[in-house]
Amino acid sequence: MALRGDVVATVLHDGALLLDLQTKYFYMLNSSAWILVQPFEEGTTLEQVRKAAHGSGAAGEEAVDMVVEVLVRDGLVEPCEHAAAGAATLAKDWSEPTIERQAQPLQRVMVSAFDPTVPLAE
Amino acid sequence: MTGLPARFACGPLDVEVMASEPVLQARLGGPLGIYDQRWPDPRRSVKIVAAGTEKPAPRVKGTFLTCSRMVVDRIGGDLVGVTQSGACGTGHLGPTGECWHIAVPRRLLEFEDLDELEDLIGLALTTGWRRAGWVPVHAAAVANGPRVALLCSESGGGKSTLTASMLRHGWRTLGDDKLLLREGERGTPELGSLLSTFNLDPRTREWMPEIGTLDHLPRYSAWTDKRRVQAAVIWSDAVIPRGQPTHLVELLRVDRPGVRTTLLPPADVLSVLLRQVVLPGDVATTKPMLACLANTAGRLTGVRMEVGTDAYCNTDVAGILGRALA
Repeated sequence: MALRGDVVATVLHDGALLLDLQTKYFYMLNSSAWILVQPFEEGTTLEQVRKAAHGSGAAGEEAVDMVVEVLVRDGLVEPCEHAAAGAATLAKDWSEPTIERQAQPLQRVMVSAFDPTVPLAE
Repeated sequence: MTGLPARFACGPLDVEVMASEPVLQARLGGPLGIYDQRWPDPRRSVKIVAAGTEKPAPRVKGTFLTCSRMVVDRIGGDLVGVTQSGACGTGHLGPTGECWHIAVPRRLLEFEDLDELEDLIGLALTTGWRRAGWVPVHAAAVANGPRVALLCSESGGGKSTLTASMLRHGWRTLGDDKLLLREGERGTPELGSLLSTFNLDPRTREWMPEIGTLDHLPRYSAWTDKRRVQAAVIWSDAVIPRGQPTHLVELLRVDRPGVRTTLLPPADVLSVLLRQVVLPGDVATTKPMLACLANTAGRLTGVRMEVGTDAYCNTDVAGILGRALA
């Protein structure tokens, strides 16, 4: 599986942001969740991610599955031919991974190329 | 084509406009002429060539951008924007600049129904600014010494009024509506000012008598009573060309009296900033913009400011915000 081509990832100082350009929803990931998700940029398998996380003993099974489930449920990942990235390497300062979808998506229709305000209904 | 091309300096862009008819040249020049902040060379080149046409506009879905009066797709290496009335702008994106061909249906020219050309001009400018390394941000900014605060709200949310209030208390500004943002040296975010006019509601005079009557000034647009005001006419030396943002203010109007400020959690700073920017549905365009916005948000202190009914008449709004930004 790999992140869809129109899902953009940006690294933050304490995690990452994923923006789905199709739905305009964005997701805030803490650094542990980003460690799990980053291999999906190049392609990996769900089993590899689960195995690495669970095998390390650092990550709780439920928390890891929760992150993967959000990726699958919201269609942020899709099948790919090559699982190039392998699995995540867990850092020592591992914490409970969190992935949070923002309640409101960014605007899909806006006033103009400069103004992202939602247009008033005419 | 009409005689000589018209030239406009729009921030980091040199824009040249050539149109087939004077009315077209004038209508394209209107929205370009507001950018009066002179930026140093070198500037990126944008050419706009416009003419009437009988050909129908191509089918465009809005995969790059969907606005209320315009949809835009990336087709091959070009950007193609089509307005509701069928005017079409095709932008060829070259390494040192862009060349836009705008085709206007003759029936629109005949009736001078050309308001939507402003949307195509906005597309050409925002494309040029992004390709020059700047992120267009729909926000105001006020500055006092090392403090530079981005004021964020949606249209009509009070950015101009709050900016005017801060100027009255000795702050300066980079603009009340349109700014450019980039990552400068060592990743330090940098804001650039584009214009020195304000869009003020004539009712502002009720609590700020020094602005005088604004009724005789041109309207900002057909959809609002706001007037375009030269900042320097009221506050000399009010506009500064550049600044390094230190704070972000999420400005909210509330239906109760008074003013309240609270700290904004760091995660919310990025969320607010993202909502002030048009992010096209194109990975290559959006990825560097997101990186710049994420880096900027990570360096800003956030403040949520709730401004209540009649707050400016009864409360020291600028003083309250100034203390919150201290």
